[in-house]
Amino acid sequence: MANIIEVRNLKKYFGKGDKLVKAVDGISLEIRENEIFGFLGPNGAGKTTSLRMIIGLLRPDVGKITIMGQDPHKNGKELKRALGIIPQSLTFYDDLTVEENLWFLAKIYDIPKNEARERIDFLIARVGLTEKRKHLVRTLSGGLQRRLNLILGLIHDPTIILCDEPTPGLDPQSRVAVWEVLKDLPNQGKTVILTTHFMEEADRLSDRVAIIDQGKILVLDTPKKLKASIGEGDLVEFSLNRRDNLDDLAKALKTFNGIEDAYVSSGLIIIRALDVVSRLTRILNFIETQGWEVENMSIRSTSLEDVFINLTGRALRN
Amino acid sequence: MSLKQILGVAQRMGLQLFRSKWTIPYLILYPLFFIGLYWIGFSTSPVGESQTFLVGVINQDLGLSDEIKSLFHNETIMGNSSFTLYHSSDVLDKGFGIEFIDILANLTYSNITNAPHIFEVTQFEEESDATDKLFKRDLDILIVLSPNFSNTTLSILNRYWHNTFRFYLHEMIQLDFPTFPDLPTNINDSIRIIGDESYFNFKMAKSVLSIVIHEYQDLTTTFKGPGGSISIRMNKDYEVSIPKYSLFELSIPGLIAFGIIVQPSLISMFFCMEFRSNNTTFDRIRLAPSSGGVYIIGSILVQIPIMIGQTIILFLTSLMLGFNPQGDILIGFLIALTIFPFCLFLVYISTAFLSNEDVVGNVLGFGAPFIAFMSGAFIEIPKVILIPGIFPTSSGYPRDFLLWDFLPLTHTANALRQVLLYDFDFHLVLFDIFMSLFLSIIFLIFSLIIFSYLRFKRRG
Repeated sequence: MANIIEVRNLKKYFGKGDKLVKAVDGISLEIRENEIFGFLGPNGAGKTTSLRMIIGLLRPDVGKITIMGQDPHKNGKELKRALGIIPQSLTFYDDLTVEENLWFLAKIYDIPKNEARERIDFLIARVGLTEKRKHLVRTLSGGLQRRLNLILGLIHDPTIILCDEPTPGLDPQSRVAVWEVLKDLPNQGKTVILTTHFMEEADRLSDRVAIIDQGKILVLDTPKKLKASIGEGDLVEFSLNRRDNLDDLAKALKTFNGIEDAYVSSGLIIIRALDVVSRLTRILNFIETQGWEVENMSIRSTSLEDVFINLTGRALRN
Repeated sequence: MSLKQILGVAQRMGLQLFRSKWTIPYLILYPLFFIGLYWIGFSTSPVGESQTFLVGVINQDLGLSDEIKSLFHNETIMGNSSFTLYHSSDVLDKGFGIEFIDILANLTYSNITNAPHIFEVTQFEEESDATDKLFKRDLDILIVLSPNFSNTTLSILNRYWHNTFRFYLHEMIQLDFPTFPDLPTNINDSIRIIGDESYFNFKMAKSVLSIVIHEYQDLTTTFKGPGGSISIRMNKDYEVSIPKYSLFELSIPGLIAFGIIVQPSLISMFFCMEFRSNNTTFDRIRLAPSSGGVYIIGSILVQIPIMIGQTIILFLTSLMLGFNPQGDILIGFLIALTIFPFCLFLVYISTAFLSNEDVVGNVLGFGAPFIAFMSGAFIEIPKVILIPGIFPTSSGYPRDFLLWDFLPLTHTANALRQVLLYDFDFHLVLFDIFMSLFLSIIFLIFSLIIFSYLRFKRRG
């Protein structure tokens, strides 16, 4: 697939002197046609700033951005029709109805009337807002408002969709509805750039993921390869009755035969091992002989969060 | 930029504005409340009819030519009972200028008992002495009677009854009627009026004086009487009346001007909600392939009907509460329109910088009365000259550019006052109308440049 967006050495600093914040510090990447590209990182990592520079809302201090072969800061008008934005915040007029919001943007994008009507009907039905189309947006639930926020960015049928944290605070039903729409976009010939700090969202939706922290890209690859990069096996998390000397306990567990890795994250002991279930009895006995009691235990597969912890030594939510 | 995009913005804003619970009450109740409050407070306080204007006079009149004087001293003529000439032989000797000054000094307001004089007349020898006082506002107006004032007056008189008189002279007493030089055809041309065009009292005095001169000319040329007798009357007790207003009515033009520039505060509060720091809805418009011009024109389309509506309500409220304009209310309304670009300036300059509706409300809530005060909408404010003698006037003494002249509302309020209260001729307020519109548009263009840059072009 050809590259649709290319970013070279992108930098954006805020403040001066002691208060200098390197929001984005030399990011370079390529985004391919018809893929969902995920930016994964904690809050303040530089995801939204990068996105705002890519779409031309923020001017970079240094670096070059090319979208479909054009500079968005020089050829902004030509590119505006190709870009659709689904911002993190809710960007609609809550004193207008669902339909009025969509019609307003259809007019701003100069979409012919019949085409706009078809597009509005299709999008409203796609996210299950048909019954609410005449309702004032302020009367809708948070989940339904988020769905409207999504389709407002798609009204002009853009080629590239920039989606900034699309599902924060959503109920599971609305989250799945949003994910289904996003997942389907590459099938319609769209490219999606997704920023999120939800590892599950990035994992489920993205074809490739860039993990970003403190303004820098730490790794960039498919979720599968990223997870494989930290080793094989499943993970087991232990919540213990005491949190003192957990690092020593982790070190001791790491020496066990068959255990690939053991570390502490957010007060939990996390062990990665092949065939972890068969080793559980021995691990539990060892923990209890060392004077701890296991309060809770869970087994799961390796996630992108583990990749992030492996790279930075801390959890995404921290 | 397409019409569809512009109408899209206008329709969206219109829907939002009229769905706001504040819009309709603000539009209708605010003018009623605002003007109603003044009506309650000041509708029973009559003022205005007792104002005495300070008039300086320089009498350069050389009087009538000797030939004419001898004619009027001819006993054959003056002894003829069919003539009744009002002018005394003393006036004929000294000239009509003296008579005219005497008339001015004795004019009183007609509509009240024990009325004061309209003009307090001071005579000067030197024009420089008079203009010093004039521009210190120790005088309201200065009148210079030209050397040929008497001859002009008689010339005008002559045009009306020349033929009759000449016939009489020729046929009855075998005298030749003297020929007059080529003199002005209007008495105004032999009276020079000087004053400070930015000073309200000057404009008032000038207006009243123009009535007096007109009447003087009319009365001087009246001839009547049976059997060819000619009577020339200039009634020294002639009275002039200027409209009688309550303080409420006198305040109306200023209140209307103020009311119009207050309304942008609601629009600005509404607009700035789009620019709240945590509201990125506006980013959708910035990212759409429409220019800032679409947003600006669309938003102006919404504001204009609101401004027109509110101005109509301001006028109607004033009329309903008893304001009785002397001038054409339609011209007053058209004058009010000239301040609309300035209202738009207030909207765009405030929303260019402010993103919080409470702050905008406070800034314009205090700003609009301040601007109105500095514009003299409520009271006449002191004269602060920035550039002396910059605007040419008919009197030959150019008008100064004052500090307050920067504010278009100064001119709107002046023009409204002159037209609505004193029925000034359109040409007398043309300068203020032009300045109001011109300055308003300059302010608007400035605000649009700033707004466009800060809200559409700047990218951090």
